[in-house]
Amino acid sequence: MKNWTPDASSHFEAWLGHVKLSMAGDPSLNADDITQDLRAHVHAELEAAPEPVTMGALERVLDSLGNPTQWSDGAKHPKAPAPSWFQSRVVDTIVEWQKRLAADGGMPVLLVVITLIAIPTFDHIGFPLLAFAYFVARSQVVYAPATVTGRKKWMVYLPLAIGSGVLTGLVLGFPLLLQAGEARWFAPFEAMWTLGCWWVLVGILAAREPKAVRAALTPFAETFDASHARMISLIGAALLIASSVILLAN
Amino acid sequence: MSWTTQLRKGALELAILNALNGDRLYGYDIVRILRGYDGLMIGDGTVYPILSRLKADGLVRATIEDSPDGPPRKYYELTRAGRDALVEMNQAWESLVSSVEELRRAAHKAGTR
Repeated sequence: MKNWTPDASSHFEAWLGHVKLSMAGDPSLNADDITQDLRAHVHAELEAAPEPVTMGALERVLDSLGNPTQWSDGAKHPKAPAPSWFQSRVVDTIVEWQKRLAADGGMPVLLVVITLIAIPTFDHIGFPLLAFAYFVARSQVVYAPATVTGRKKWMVYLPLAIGSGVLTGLVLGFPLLLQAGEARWFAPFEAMWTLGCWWVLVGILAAREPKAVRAALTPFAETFDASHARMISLIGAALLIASSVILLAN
Repeated sequence: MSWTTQLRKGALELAILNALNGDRLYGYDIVRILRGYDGLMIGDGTVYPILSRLKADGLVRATIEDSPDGPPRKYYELTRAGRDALVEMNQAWESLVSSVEELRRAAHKAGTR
């Protein structure tokens, strides 16, 4: 049997507990039977996943199973809030497009061509081209992962790797980017201080929502969890303390 | 719940029984078979409460077997009552589909007249 990361393992057990709870309202269902089937299903689905099984890999399988509260008419249904305008118009439309693009095979050759054009023209048309290639490649990996194999894998992963790198850089270097248009640039230790504060904040937010980080940087951050986020905060705190000491000394 | 979701939920029970007709499958096998047919599945998990209910109704029986790759797997097969019910359900389905189709054609003709 495969090894799982501790957080993936405990998340799965908690999820099975949630399933049992949602089935408790329907006397015609045997919750133990269902969770036994689900356990076998999830293990079978993860048979081809790399070891140890990560939260990211597990969450993809749990997402494909759907929401347990909607599996049965007798299951406990928390009153579903009406979808917001943003959810029904923007999010659903984006997901719909991602599914269509994934169904078209993700156009791997076109993705490579677009990415190769985007790199030297990054300051002009390169950024939107790269964003498009990243969007299509991500659709492929999220909605048709079984098709991303062999040569196609590297064609799809190229824009994903560059896009994820740019995204990470944009998030981590955000305060410095804000200064780019200013007449006065940060002095080195001021920059260090600002980055320190920013990374502490980013680490705290990422520790609260590691799933969002894994989703944004899929498939390169499958093992990202709260401990990695705390490491970002710690590095930020170290930068903050060191730069504060130097700034006060001067 | 949308009309298509309700329709799929209703049809899924029949689809599961048909998948098990003449076969002995564990839950994940059934899911993989159904995934091959467009528009049948809502979420993979929907299959398992239906299997639980079919078992409670005596239409399928389950036997547990160890698996070398993971936790034990529960294999399902139709019971005698399940096979009888399937024949009836397939007949009812065919009759329903042909009636709706007939009605649609009649309405279409009336509309084009």
